Amino acid sequence: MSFVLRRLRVEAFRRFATAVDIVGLGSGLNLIHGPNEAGKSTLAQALRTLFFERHSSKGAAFVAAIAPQGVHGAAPRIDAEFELGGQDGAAAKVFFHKPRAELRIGSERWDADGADEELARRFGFALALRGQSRAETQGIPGLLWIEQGTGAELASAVEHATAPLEERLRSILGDLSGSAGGGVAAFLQAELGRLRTGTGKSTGVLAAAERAFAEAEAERSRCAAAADEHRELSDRLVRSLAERDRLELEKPWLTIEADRRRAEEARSALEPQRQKLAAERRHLLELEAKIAGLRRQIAQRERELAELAGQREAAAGIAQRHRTATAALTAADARASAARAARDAARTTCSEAELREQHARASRELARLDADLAREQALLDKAAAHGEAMASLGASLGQVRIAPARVAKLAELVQARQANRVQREATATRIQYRLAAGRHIEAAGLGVLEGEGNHLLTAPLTLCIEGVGEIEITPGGGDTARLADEARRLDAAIAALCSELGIADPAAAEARQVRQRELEQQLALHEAQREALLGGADEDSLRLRLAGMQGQRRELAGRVETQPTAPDGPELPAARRLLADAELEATTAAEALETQRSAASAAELERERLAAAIAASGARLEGEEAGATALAASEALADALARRDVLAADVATAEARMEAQQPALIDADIERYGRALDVLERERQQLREAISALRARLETLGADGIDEKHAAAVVGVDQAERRLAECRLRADALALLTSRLEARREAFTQRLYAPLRERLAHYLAILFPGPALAVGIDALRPTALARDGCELALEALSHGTREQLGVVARFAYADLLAMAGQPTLLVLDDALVHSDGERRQQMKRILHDAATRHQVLLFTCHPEHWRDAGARVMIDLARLA
Amino acid sequence: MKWLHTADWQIGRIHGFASDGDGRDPNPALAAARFEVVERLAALARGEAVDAVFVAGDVFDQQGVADTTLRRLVNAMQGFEGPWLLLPGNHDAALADSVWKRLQRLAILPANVHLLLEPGVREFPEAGFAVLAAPLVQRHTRDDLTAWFDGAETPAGLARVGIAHGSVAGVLPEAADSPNPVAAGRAASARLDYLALGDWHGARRVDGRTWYSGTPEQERFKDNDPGNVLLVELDAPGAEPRVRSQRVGRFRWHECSRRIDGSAALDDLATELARFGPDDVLRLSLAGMLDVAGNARLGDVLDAARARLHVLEADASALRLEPTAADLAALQVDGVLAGLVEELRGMQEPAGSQVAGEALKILFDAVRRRRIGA
Repeated sequence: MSFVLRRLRVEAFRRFATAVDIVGLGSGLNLIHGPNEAGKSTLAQALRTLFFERHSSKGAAFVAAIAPQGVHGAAPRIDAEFELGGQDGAAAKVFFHKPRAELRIGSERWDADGADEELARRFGFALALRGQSRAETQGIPGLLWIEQGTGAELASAVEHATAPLEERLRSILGDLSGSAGGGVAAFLQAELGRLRTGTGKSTGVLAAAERAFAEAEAERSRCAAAADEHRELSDRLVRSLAERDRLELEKPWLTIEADRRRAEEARSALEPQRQKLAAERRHLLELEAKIAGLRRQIAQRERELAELAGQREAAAGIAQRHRTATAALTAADARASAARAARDAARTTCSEAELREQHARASRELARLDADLAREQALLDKAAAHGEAMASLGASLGQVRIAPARVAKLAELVQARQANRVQREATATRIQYRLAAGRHIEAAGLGVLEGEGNHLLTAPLTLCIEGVGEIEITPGGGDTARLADEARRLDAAIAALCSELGIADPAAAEARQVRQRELEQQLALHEAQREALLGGADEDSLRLRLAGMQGQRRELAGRVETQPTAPDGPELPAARRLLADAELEATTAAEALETQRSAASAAELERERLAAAIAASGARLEGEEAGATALAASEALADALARRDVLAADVATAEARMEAQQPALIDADIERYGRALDVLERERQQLREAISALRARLETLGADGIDEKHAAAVVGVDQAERRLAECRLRADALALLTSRLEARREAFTQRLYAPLRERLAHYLAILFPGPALAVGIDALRPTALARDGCELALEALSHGTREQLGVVARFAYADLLAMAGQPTLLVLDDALVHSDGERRQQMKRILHDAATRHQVLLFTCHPEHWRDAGARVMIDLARLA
Repeated sequence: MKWLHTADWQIGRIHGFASDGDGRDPNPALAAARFEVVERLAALARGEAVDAVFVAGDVFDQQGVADTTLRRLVNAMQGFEGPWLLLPGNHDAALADSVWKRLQRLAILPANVHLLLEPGVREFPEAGFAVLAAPLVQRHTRDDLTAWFDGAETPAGLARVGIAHGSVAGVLPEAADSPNPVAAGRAASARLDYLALGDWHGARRVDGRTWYSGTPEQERFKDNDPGNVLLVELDAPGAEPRVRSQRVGRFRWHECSRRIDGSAALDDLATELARFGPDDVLRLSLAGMLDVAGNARLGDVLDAARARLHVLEADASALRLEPTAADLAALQVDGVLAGLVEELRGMQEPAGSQVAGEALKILFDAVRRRRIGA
C-alpha cells in the first residue's frame, strides 16, 4: 500500500513559533536542506510526534520537548496530508490546549483516541500506555525513520520492530496467523521457569515436591526404623523369655553344685595328710637353717684365728720399729739441748749489746731535751714580757675608754649648742662700747666693762654707770628668751654628760679618744708579737708542754743515772745475727726432736694396741671355753646333717604319696564348678534385667503408636511420590515443549529471513561492487558480511560502513514491508554524514533505486552532496522560514 | 441364644487418598468410620439383645496403635454392656508385647470385655455357652490352631462356640497356600455349635455352622460383600444355628476401568458416575483417546463426580489427547505450533509417551489461555 506524504505543516512547535508549511512533497526522493539550526530535525521530530504521541499526552517532559520556547499556553499543532493506497488522507494533532486528533483516509474518519490508534495500527507501532512514546514501542516507523546520528544503530531499532516486522514478513509467506508461537513460547518458558531453572535445577513447586518427597521418605525410614526396633525388641523379648523358661526348667546349676560338693569332700579327706607334710617341710626348712647357722659359726672362728696369727706377726715388726725410734729420740734430745744452750748465750750477748745501745740513745735524747727546754723557756719569757706590757696597756686603756655612743651624743649636744649660739648671736642685741680710759661701767652679770669691747646680749642687762645710774637693756625678739633657755638646757646636758664621762669638757673627750686609739694600737702590736711567738698556742699550754718536757727530762736523766752498764761486747747487729743463727738451730733441733718423739710414741701406741688386741683375741679364741664351744659346734653340725638327710627322705616320700592323689586337679575342679555356677547366675541375672529393660522399652515405643505412624508415613510417601511424579511430568513436558518449539521457531525464522536476505543482497551488490556478498542474519538483522569465504562481523566494520549498512538494511525492510502492503516512508535525518565521496556515490545509486519504490525524505545541511541524487523535490528550509 | 459375629475391625487403618482441589482430606473420615461402625455394632447388639459379641480377630490393624486409638475403641464399645469376646488375629497377634498387653496396662477395659489371648476354653454359663478360642500368638503359623478343639471338653448344657482367625483350606479362593489354616469341617469334628471366623473381609458361609462375618466397614477395593455383621441364633446346643447378615458399614469401595473413545463413552461414564454418592470411594482407570473438547468435558465430568463422591481417584494417564483438525483450526495455532502439535502426536503414538501426551495437553491449554486472554 503505497504511502506518499504530500504536506507537513507545523505550528507552535519547538523552534517554529509561527507556522511552517512544507508543501509539494512527492513520491521518490525529497531533499529538505538548510544550514544548521534551520529546523530540519525539528521537522523530523514533528513528523514523529504526529504519529507516535497521543494527542492527550501532556507530561512536563513532553511539554518541554515540543512546546516553543518562551511561549506560554502554546498549543503545538501538526498537520499532514498524504496519499495512502491511492486515497487522499490527512492527519492532524493539537496538543496541550484543547488537544485533539483527527484522521481521514478517503471517506473514513477517526478522531481523538481513535485517530491515535488507527495511525498506530496502520503504520505498525504501539502507543505508549501513558506518557511519552518510547523507542520500545515505535515499531516500524521507529526503524524506518532514522533520527539524526542513529543510522548505524540498527540492532535496537530492529528489536523494537520485531513483532510487526515478523507479522508482515509472515504475510509475505502467506502465514496469516498471529505469533509464530512467540507468545506461547514465552508462556511455556515462564511456566518451565517456575519448575526448573535455566541450568536444569529444580525450583518452585517441583523443588518443593522433591523436598516433600525426601522428607516423607526420611519420615518413613524413621518410622520403619522405630517399627523395626519394636519388632526386634519383641523378638528379643520372646527369645529372652524362652531362654529364661528353659533355664528355670532345666536348672543346670543343680548338677554342677553336686559335682562341686563331691570335689570339696575329696579335698577335705586329703587335709590331714596335707597338714603333716606341711609340718615336715617346715621342720626340714628349720634344720637347713640351723645347719647353715652352724657352718657360719665355724667359719667365723677359723677366720678370727687366722687374723690373730697375722696380728702376732705384725707385733714383732712394730717392736723393732719402736726400738729404732727410741734411739733416734735420744740423739735428737742431745742435739736440742746443745742448741738451746747456744741460743741462751747468744741472747745474753744480744741483751747486753741492746743495753749499751739504749744507754747511748738515752744520753742523746737527754741532750736534745735540754736544748729544747732552753728554747722553749726563752720563748715563754718573751711572751710573758709581752703579756705584762699588754696588761699595763689594758689598764691604761681602761682608764681612757669612753663609750663611743656617749661621745657621739656629746658631739651632737655640742653641735646643737653651737647652732643655738649662732642663732642667739644673730638675734642678740649687740653692745659695743668704747669707754674712755679709766672709766668703767658695771654691768650686772658681765662684770665691769672697760676700754673697748662688745657684748651680745641674750638676756636683759643692767648697766650701772656710776653716777649716772643704771641702764637696763633688754634684748628684743621673741626667741631670745627661748634660745637662751635652750642654750642653758644644752649647757646643762653637756655638763651632765661630761661629768658622767669623767671629763672636764667636750674637748677632753676628744683627747681621750685619741689616747684610747694609741693604746689600742700598742696593745694590738703586743698581741700580734705574742701571737707570733706562741704560734697559735696559748701561753698556758706552752707552759704545760714545757713542764712535760721537764718531767721527761727528769725521767730520762733518772734512767740514765740508774741504768746498769754492760760490759763491752760485740755491737748490736753482730750480736743479733749470732742470736738468729742460734735461734734457728734451736728451733730445728726442737722440731727434729718432736718428730722423733711422735714417731717413737706412735710406735709405742701401735705396739700397745696390737698387744691389747692380741691379748683380747688370744684370751677369747684360745681359751678353754672357746675350744669347747668350737667342738660343740662341730658336733651339732654333724648331728643336724644326719637328721636332715632322714627328714628329706621322709618328705620326698610323703610328697610322692600326695601327688599320686592329684590334689591340684581337685582344686581346679572346685574352682571350675564355682565359676560355672557364677556364670549361670550371671546369665539368669542378665536375662531378668534384659527382660525388664525390653518390657520397659517396648512399653515406651508401643504407647507412641509406631505402627500407626509408620502406616501414615508410608501413605505420606505415596502421596508425595504422586505429587512429585505429577510435577516432574509437567516439568518434563514443558522442557520438551520449549525445546521443540524453540527449534521450530528457529527454522521458521530462517525461512522468514530468505526474502530479507534477497533484498539485502540486492542493495549490497550496488554498495560493494564485485563478487556477490553473503549476508549473515540473526534476529531479523544483518550481523555479518562474507565474501569469498571470509566473514566479517558487523561490529568490526567502520562507523561509516555500518551507517551505510544501517540505511541499506532499512531500505531492505521497506521493500519487504511494501511487499506485505505496509505503507512505507523513509526519513533520513543527516543519516549518511560519515560516508566518503566514493561511497556516497554508491549510496546515491541505492537511494535512487529505493526511491523508485518508496518515498524518502532526506534532511541534510549539505545539499551540494546530494544534488545529483535524483531528488524530485528540493526544499530549502532557510528560504521557507 | 443370640450372638453377634463380627471380625476384622482393622482399627488404626490409615488411608492415603490425595486431598481434592479444595484441600479436603478424605482420610480422617475413613479412619473415623471404623470407630463409628463399632458404635453401630454396639447399638445393634443392644437392640437385638444378643447374649454376646464375638470379634474373630484383627480388631486392630497393627500392634503399634496410639493409646488414644485404644481409648476411642473402648468408648465406641460402651453401647453394649453384655460380653464382648475379642480374639487376636494376624494383625494383632498376642505376641510377648502386643497391643493387648497395652490395653491391659492402660486398665481401661470394662469387665464385660474379654480378651481371648491364650488358647483354651472359657465358660460363660449365665450366657449358656463355652468358647473355644484359637488366638494367633504370632503373625503367621502353618499349624491349624483349632486342632485342639476336637478333643476339648466343655460342660454339658453349654453351647460350644469356636472362635478362630485364618483361612479355611479349600474354601476360599485365595486360601490354597495361606498361612493360619483352619481345617474345613472343624465345626463338625470339634462338635461346635458355631465356629466364628475372621480374616476374610466379606461375609461368607463356609458351612451351616461355620461363617466368616467379614469386616463391618470396608477398607479396600475388593468387592466380596463387606460391611456386614452376622446375627447368629441358636435355639439349643446341638440345634442348627440361624445366621443372617445385616449391613452396618457406611462406605462402599469401588474399582473400575473404562475405555473412553468418543463422546458416547463419555456420556456413559457420566451416567455411571452419577450413581455414586458421598459414601462411595471410587478408583477409576481411564484409557482411550479424546479430542480437545472431549478432554475438557472429561475434566468437567470428573470434577462433578469428585465433588459428590467421598473419594474419586481417577487415573487418566492412559488416555491420549488426539486433537482433530477442527481442534487445531479452532485454536488458530500457527504453522510453527501446528507442526509442534503434529510432532507431539507422533511422539505419543508408539509407546504412548506420557511426557508427549502431557506436553500436548499443556500446549493446548496454553494456546487456549492466550486466546481467551486468561
